[in-house]
Amino acid sequence: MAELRVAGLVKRYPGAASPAVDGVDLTVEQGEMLALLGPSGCGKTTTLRMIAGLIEPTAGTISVDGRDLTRTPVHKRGMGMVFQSFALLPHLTVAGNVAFGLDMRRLPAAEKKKRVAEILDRVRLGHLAERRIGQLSGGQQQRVALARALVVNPSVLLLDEPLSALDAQLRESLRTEIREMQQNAGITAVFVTHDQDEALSMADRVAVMDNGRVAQIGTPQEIYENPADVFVATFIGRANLFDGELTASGVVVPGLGTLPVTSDRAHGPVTALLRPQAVRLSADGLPGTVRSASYTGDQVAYQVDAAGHTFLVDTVAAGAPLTRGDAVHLAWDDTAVRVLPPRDAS
Amino acid sequence: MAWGLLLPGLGVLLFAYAMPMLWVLRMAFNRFTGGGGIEITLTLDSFADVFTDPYYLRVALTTVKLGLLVAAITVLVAYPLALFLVRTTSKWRGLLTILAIAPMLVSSVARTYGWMVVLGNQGLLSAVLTGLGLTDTPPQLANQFAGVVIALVQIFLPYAVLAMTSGFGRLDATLEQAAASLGAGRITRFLRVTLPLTLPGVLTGLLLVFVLTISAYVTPRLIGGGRVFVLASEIYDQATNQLNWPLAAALSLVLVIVFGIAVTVFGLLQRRVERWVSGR
Repeated sequence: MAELRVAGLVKRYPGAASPAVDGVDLTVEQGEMLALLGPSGCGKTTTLRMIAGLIEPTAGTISVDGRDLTRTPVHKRGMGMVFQSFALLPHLTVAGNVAFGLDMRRLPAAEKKKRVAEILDRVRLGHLAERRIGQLSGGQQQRVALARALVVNPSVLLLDEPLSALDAQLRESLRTEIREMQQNAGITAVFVTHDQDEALSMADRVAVMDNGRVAQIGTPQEIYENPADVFVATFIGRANLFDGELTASGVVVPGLGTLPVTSDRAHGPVTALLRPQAVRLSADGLPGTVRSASYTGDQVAYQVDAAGHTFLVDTVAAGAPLTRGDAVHLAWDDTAVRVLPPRDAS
Repeated sequence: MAWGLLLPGLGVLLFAYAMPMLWVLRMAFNRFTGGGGIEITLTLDSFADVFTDPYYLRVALTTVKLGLLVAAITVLVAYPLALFLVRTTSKWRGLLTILAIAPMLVSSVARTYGWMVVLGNQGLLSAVLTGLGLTDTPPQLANQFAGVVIALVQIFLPYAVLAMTSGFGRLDATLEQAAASLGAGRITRFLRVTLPLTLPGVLTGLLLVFVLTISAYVTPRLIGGGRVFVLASEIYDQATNQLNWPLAAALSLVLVIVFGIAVTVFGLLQRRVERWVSGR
């Protein structure tokens, strides 16, 4: 029930060439779910662990509702954390694990029992309260970890790759479950993931991280449709990228001609982005040849050679897919083209 | 096929353990006729001696007391050391572990003599204490139970550290972090997470040091200086000085029984604790 603010957060490990986290600023509104997304080594987990108090920042501040917690030890931060490995205490039962945080808060026994039973029912594990941890499946362990973190009414819920230890099918259903729990509790949450689908589908806003910095922060739609640079564009979804020159009439791409777009960027070298869904196979337009087709039931993803470039084209499957060597024409709306800083500079 | 793998070990055990033990068992039923004479027969005379003479009861009790005390103190001293070695992320970890167990490279006879130099009546410790004017009557540690305990604790410390570091496998830093995130301070984390999860290692350390202590002969003999009597030194004395092999054999069997009880009790405890901390 709180607003989390992170300002100028830096973590520099002694002996390391560059900082693991290099000046991260984040504000997570009350009840908002923010995803920290990025490749491994981008500093997302280090950032989360600094918020939790498990790693001491080199510089910067962490505050909740204006209260500076930067120097507060973990056990006094009042945040809840779900670990990648779940970190359930193996010598306690399911109920024992969930009650652990309430024990620390010295809740009366009756109240404790009530709250443990309530939260276990909410994660549909009421019938397993007396089970040992080793007797649970991965998905059940995940829900115990979530219940254990939520039962103490934390100011902020932190999730470190909460689903990466589970198999694909389970991940899908738990995404919805975690999201529902978070929204019902109206709790402020930050979760770390390297999985773009997970970030886009679960979070209110996504912070894409690269090399210890936040490359872009925004709603999933903003990040996908208006990526700030080539890194974000390629990390989130697939992309057709064309290196060219921004002029008054549009982006001039060698071999492709001029893409008539307007941009307030300075004229000069840029990279143009065109998402594969924005490209259509049509009766006329840019002539090309199908290089490959991959059929996934509802969609066909083509690679098409045209004008000296290889285009990625995603189409809704209808009838028999085209095959290698077929002649096609490509078309797209000019408004779908995005102008990004040139590749080398990003 | 797989059973064939047992053959070498089984062979060694048969010749080096089972046969001598059977021989000892048989010897215990022979009669001692004085002056090294042994009559081959079947009698319970030696067992009668062992179980009726209060002296042997005292020796057996001293042995068990020494075993429990040394095991408890050694594990207490080794625990923080083992915990540090398991937890540290220092690049010196390997070196530190080797340093902790390095004393094992020196024979326990040499280390016992070392302790005699330190603890002796004219030894280092009394010289330092009197030299500093702290006391005129330095503690008499040589030829005393306490001296034997001190020396054995130091001698068996590396074994305990080794047994415990390998027994602390269930300890996982994220478990302590999870407890911390739920509001547990340093002491609570230790009592409710670290200690329970390290209990299997503690039990292994206790059993190992107990067994090593009750079978220790050199240290009680040398530092005890003929005043601290344990089963091992008594067996040696009966066998080589009195030449009373039947009595030595009967005492050996008593020691084996103490071993058996210790291993059984610790085994049962270990199984319960292991089940508890494994989460199954």
